[in-house]
Amino acid sequence: MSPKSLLPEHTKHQLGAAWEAISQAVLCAGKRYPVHWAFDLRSMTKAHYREDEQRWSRLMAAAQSGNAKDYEQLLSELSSFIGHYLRSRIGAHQSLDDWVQDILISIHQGRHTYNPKRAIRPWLFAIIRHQTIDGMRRQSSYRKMIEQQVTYTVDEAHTEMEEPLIEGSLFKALTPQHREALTLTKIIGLSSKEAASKLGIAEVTLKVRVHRAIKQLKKLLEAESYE
Amino acid sequence: MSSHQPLIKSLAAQVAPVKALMNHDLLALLWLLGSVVYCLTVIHLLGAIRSNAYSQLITEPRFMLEMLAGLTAIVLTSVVAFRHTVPGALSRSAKTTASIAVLFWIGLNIYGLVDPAIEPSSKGYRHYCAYEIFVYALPPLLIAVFLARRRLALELTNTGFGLGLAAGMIPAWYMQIACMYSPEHMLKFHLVPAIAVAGVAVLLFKSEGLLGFFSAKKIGRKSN
Repeated sequence: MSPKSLLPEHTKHQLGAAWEAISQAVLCAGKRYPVHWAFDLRSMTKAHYREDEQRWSRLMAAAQSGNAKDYEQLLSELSSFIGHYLRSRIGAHQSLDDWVQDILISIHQGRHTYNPKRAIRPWLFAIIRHQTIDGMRRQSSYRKMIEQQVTYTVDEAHTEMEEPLIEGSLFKALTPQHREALTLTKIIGLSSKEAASKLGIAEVTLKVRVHRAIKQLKKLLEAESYE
Repeated sequence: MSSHQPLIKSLAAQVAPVKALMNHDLLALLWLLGSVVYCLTVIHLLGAIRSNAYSQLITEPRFMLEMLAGLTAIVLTSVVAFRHTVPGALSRSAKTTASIAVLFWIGLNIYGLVDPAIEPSSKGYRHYCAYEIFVYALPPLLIAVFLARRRLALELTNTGFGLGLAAGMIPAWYMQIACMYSPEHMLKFHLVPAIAVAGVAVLLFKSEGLLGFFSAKKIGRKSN
């Protein structure tokens, strides 16, 4: 079974949409910046960054004054941005869509706390970071889904589900021990006892590893958002 | 069309103009000013102040240093706690500076166990100082919780602890003047209640009732 076949239908559809969005972005970039041989990718990225920053800030200011159209545009852009961001950092996690939704709701609830005179990214990334870590901690809905769907053995599940996850750069940055502990407990949904016996370690040691892994992941996300 | 589009449409449909928030640092300072005035008034009204406390402030530089360190710790803790209520407003350096300030103040008092700033005495002793600190800190804490509710506190434990500690430290700090001077007494009967207030604040923030106001998910469900 390929890792992709494990994804629910709407996620597969979204992956297709994401690819489409990337293609669109590349095309737009081509229009905005005439392609020539001395094409500087880095300056394009910086310009994009600034442009996004200014546009999102302007759209959010409009949303704060009650402009629904601008707000819808902002949320659409942010949902796509957040989806890509999380996918590239954490991998094709099954709960990714739920997290994006939680983040959008948080943005909606906290839109009055954004100060248009300040950069939007620190505000946005604080919400993304918190909701993602919070989502990882909760995981209950994901576990329920897995319990309903899993018909194969834990060993198979481990390998197949870890594959798309370790594609995420943040997961790669974790130590193998931490990655293993996090995958077994938070992703596959084993209890601490089951995961500990599978790894041949004490339950306390496993809990410590999971705690440290989440802490490390949080630090990595924090570092990412200030880059 | 992305799978989030229905949610986005529903959120956009219910978007209403929002008022710009007061700057979090200004809000923290206003809250602090109000809380200090309130605590000082209550402490003065409900008990006698150590008679030689103000003269000791002038004649004993280390006592003055302790008081200034305490005040700095309170100001920084308040600012940091209110920054917690706005996503992305709190920098790591601000958090570290506030922690250092609090530890420095506590450290001065611990050092006082060995070498007190002024001669410890039971002059000005208030029988219920520990309870007083706890009770006097509650109104500022509740006001802070009310103000935080209007914002977006993501890290409930840290926000609660910060606001509670700031609220608890105000009467604890002034008790150094109002109550007897002894570093041991300060640590046991002034600082511990302040930390207890911080604990209460964490419970308040984490409790189910308040979670409804703070949790993005619950609020989202309400508005959807």
